[in-house]
Amino acid sequence: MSGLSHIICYSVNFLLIGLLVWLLVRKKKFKNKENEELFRILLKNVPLPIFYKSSDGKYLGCNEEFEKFIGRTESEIVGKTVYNLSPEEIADKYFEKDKQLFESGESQIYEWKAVDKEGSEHSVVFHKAALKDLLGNVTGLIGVIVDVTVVKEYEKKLELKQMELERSNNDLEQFAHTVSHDLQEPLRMVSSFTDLLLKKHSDKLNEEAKSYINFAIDGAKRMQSQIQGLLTYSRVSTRSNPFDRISLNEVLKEALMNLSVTVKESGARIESEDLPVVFGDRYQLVSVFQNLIGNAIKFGKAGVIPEINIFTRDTGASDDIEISVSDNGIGILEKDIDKIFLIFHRLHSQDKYPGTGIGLAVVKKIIEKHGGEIHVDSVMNKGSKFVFSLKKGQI
Amino acid sequence: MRDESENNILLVEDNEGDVLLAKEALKFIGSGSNIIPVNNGESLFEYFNARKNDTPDVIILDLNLPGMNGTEILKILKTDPETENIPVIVFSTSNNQNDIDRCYELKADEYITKPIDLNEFFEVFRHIDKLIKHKVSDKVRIDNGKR
Repeated sequence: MSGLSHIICYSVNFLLIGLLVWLLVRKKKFKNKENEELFRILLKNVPLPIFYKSSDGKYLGCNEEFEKFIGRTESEIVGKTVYNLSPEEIADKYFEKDKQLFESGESQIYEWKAVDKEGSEHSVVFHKAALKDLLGNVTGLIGVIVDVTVVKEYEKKLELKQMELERSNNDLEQFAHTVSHDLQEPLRMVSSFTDLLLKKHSDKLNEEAKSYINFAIDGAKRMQSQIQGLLTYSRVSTRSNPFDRISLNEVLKEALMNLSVTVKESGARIESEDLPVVFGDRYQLVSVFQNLIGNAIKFGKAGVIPEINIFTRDTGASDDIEISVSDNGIGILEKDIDKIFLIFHRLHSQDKYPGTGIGLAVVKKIIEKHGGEIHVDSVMNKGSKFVFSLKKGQI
Repeated sequence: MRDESENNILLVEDNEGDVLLAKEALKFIGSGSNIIPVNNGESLFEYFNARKNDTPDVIILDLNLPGMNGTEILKILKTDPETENIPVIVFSTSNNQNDIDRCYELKADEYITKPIDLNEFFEVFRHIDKLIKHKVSDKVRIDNGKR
């Protein structure tokens, strides 16, 4: 039995058991007639088909919902067995299950098929309980039918959607693979042969021709970086690892190790609070820290040592934790803040701050994939603070 | 000691541009080694059948080839006693970790991603040239020892 139908079945089971227990408790307080009236009202008003049988498997009665479902009146089913009401291949299982229930004297839940008045087959869950006399002898059973056909259909649709999603992810991965191989190959040829032209025939080319060739080589190389960036961006969705409990202290350590040359060259001072354990993909989280710290260094003010501080804040929300990475860099104009997370969007010229404009788009995609959000607070010439949330890695 | 010009690099590559670049690279670094290009797996095995006793010093193998792909060729080369000891350097555009892992599983001696930068491309061949010379001098030492 799958998720949603499981929940429905158990809820109804409580209802059925509650109904029986209530009737038993009231039995002592009410006279038989009042008791029967109560039972009748309940049967009439419970919006589910209910039936009861004697210990020889013959129907003793049912409610209106059962009548509507099966397309026969109560008087038409009384004294009949399952074989009189359902096709043999379906009735066999009812019979077997009833037999087990009469032997155990307890209750049972199982999923099976039922045929309605139009002859359509439904997926249903049966909740049955044995009825006993004062001496504890099994005298019959009461059963409730929960129609899970619609739920099952939704589950099937959901499963199909899931398969479609997987297929579309595979297509995307295949596309990324094609981009990686088939587009980079000719690009490499353009770049290599223009470079070779420059190397071998430099003496025959004037300065203008050489500068044109250099532009061509530079363009090809930048395009390759952008293809690589696009690949990285698409792989956030298609190539992630299963989420696990990850120590952000370890993640930061790894990101700083990858950035060691940049950090050393810039003389950047990086300080961090003790960071929490979160739930996520270690490799992708390293990429988040690496991009944010790398940017904080890259967009530092000329002649000023970059100072980067990493803080954590419990938001009060049950499973979220907030992390911030702040710097003393050049900052971002307010009008540009919304654009910085867009793919390939760059705020500065290539010669001043080289880059592909992929980094922050990748960061945003990773954070969102982890169920978090990211935003930036920034003051021009003072610095920026990137704030993002992640899910706590609770045990 | 055998002449450097006898050192043969068997290049399994269908891209004529890369074959030309490889030849230019050897010229640029001043290596006397020869490039023997074959453009697919079938031609490679025909080469071996025709020259039983003349094995190349190294095989440079592209992965994306027409017909039999690079990993299939690698598997055959490294399981055949006749060819298993020839160093195979996989030289591919792919930097996909799965491709890299798969090639090392199949006993590739090295995996090098084709660089976009021409100088880096030349450096790859300088590295391969050094490997061959090292291997050949080892071989000569062993042969001399036997005598």
